[in-house]
Amino acid sequence: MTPVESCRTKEGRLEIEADVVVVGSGAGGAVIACELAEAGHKVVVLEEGPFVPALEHGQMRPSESLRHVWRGGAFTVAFGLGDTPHINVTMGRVVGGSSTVTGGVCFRVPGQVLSTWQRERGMTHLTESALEPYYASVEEAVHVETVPVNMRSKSTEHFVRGAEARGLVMKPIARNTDGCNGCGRCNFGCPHVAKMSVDVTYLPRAAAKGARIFADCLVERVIMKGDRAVGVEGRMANGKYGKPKDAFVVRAKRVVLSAGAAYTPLLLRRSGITGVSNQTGKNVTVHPGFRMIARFSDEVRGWAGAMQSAYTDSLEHEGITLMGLFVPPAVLAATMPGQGPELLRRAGTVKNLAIFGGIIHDEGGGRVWPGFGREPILTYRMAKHDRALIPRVIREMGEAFFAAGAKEVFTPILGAPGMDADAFRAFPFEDVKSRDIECSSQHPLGSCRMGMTPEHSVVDTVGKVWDTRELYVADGSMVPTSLGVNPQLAIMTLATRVAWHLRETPYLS
Amino acid sequence: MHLRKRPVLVGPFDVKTRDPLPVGDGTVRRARAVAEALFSSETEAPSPARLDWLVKELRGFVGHSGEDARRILALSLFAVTVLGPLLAFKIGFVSKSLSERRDILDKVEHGPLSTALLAVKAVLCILYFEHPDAAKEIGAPFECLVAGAPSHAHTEASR
Repeated sequence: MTPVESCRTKEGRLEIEADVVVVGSGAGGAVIACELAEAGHKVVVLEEGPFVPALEHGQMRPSESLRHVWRGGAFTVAFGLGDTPHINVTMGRVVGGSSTVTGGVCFRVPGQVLSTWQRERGMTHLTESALEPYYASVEEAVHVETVPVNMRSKSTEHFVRGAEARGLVMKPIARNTDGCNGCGRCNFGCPHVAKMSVDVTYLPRAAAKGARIFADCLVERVIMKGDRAVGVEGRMANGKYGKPKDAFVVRAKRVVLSAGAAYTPLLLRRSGITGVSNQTGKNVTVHPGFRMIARFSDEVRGWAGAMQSAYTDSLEHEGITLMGLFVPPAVLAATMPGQGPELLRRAGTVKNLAIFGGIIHDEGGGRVWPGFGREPILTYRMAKHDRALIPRVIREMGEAFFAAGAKEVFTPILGAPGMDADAFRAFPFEDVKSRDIECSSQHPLGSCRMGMTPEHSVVDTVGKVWDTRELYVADGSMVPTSLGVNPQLAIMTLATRVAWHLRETPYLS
Repeated sequence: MHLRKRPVLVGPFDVKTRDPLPVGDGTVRRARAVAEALFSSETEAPSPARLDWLVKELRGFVGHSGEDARRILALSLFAVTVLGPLLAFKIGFVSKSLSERRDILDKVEHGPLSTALLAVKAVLCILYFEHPDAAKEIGAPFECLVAGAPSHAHTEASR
């Protein structure tokens, strides 16, 4: 096993040679690294964030996880343009990337989404059966299993009961877990290392085959020789307080960018690679998400049970997926309105609270812009159709909770009080200003979308950046449209497809 | 069991001992004043010891979360404590009484700066309610939520 190396403690210029350099160690990069290392390639993985062993992450309090594992303490925002809420877009920044901070939910690309890719984007070869071997490989590697009904939290049970009473068909969620104890805190690390994120699956396999994984390593650009990528360069986070200081260069026969939808397009742009389509950094979809909290008279203790265990796609024809979730009590208390005694009284009801979430299968409208420093600026302009769905999502979730016997609900309207059923039904959600709506996203996708022609996409369907040689993308940025469901399995599957292609493709001489 | 079946990634784990970026005294002073009001009873602020703990945690949280997080929190606190009072036709925040501060926060929560308050409130609440005593006060036993917690298999009995 090759140990992870931290650039934080290295000194002086670092120069490395490899067959393949992978930028980013999340769901895309880890798969690439593992598949190629196991095929005998000399692989180097560069990760901007630190190394936090899974067991240590699982011992952290949520706020410790936020500060050490999440990007920017989870303060990352896509600024809403026009009639759009500001969106809290969260990402991981650690060895293992965002896979370490997901709830572990795994969906295959929905059939209607694949149909869209085939029909509207000409990717007729991306069929369910063609993707089957890649799915099978990933699902075995990360141990995808269905959450049994008896693992559901009471929070989820309440919602399921109300939703089913309203005619919605609730289905069990599949997750990448093995030995889950139902602690309800998957986003903040698993105390039992039961979440099979890539830092406990693909990356150890890669390291076991000699892949070198560098943490605290900030890639700034791809080194190009004409149209051919020959390596990457950047600086190590070995300055005071982890600021970038000493330079490093990795010379490689092949470069794979897996820095995620926010960073991969920036790397391309900083390397002078914009392509004829000028689509780099555009077309970002995020699955705008909204939560609904409900207070019941009985104790819910929503933290006891699987954090995410049930969902419904009954509203998919409208562009809505409702998804179970829970958040630790301290985080839940943070969402309560009011100050002083009022806030404390509400916080004192956390054991009575249930929560559910809804995401919109969005049309896109997000964009990644270069920031003043190293960080990108994200903006998002919601399509009118998507914006109109927000009240629909809120109403549906609220009604489901009331059908289950909730006493009051707390909506994602900033400053709005708890509402009983009458107040909820009378509330003019359609008239609420976008800026007053709390919105979050964990699924930024599409900023370097794949496609059939360089005129309309950034990479081809095996991730090769158009009009370049030996430069590939394998992460959420290549997903060409919103999926309407959690994307980690889709990202790993597409990355496997890229990896297997690279495995068989000789390097340029 | 599964750990024994799979190779485990190894390497240096030092994030907790790394030096955090310094957080400005003004930011800390404003955050403490907001926290005093946010977590106060009708008449009293939380104990100084609890607030000291919160401030220490806040320094660690912001210092380790990076420059952007530090900037966003500082700007949000500025919006809440400098611009926010103007919504209540007042000037200043830190020197105001607890009830005045709560009134100002209430105006902010229902006004155009609500997003800024959401950011401030989120950080302060997450940290505050992680204090073992605060957790106990809201009835949230932290099985699985704190280091060394016992496993918490979901059973009928555990409900």
